Amino acid sequence: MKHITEEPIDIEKLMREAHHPEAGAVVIFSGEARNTHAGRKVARLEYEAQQELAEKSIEEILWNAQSRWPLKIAIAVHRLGKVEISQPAVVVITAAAHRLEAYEANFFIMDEIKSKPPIWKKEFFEDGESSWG
Amino acid sequence: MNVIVNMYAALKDYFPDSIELSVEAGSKISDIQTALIARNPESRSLLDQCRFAANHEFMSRDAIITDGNVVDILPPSSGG
Repeated sequence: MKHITEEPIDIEKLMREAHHPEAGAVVIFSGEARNTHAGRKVARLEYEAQQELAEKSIEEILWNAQSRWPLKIAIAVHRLGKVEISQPAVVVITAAAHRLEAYEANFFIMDEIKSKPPIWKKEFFEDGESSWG
Repeated sequence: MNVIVNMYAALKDYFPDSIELSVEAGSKISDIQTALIARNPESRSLLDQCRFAANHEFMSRDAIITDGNVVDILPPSSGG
């Protein structure tokens, strides 16, 4: 799958695919596992998805972004499985002629990814408890 | 007829990962929801917030299930 992976996300590899001769602005967002949530210490995250639907949903989100902003490149990859603290869980890269459209489209894609594809986060706390996000 | 129903994320706190349900021909997605609530009434609040898919397409609660459908029940997303 293009947008869903059980392997660690290789940001540098994605960045190498994000250059375009007509793009003067490349925006990268990396959503990373944070070690606290609501005052509790988080040990790690785990993500689960309905993979076929999540893949299709992210493809649709990128297509929508490309129809709203003149993007040269739009990339989004979401990680599944165990994600350790400070590892990226999701990476979105947008490239456009100018920074405004690259920033706006990146924000839009990330917002959509948080709510639409069937992907779920489970937080594992240092006290041994866990809960679905 | 029988349908396979797959559970995801927090729904697995209420049901096994996957169950086979026997439903009458012409049943709707909403009938699956009703059958699941009968099995575990505590799941009602979460099921009310879920989306449903059959054979990897999102479906409304009014959609008719056909024999051999694999139904996915999808709690509210929490990606990112």
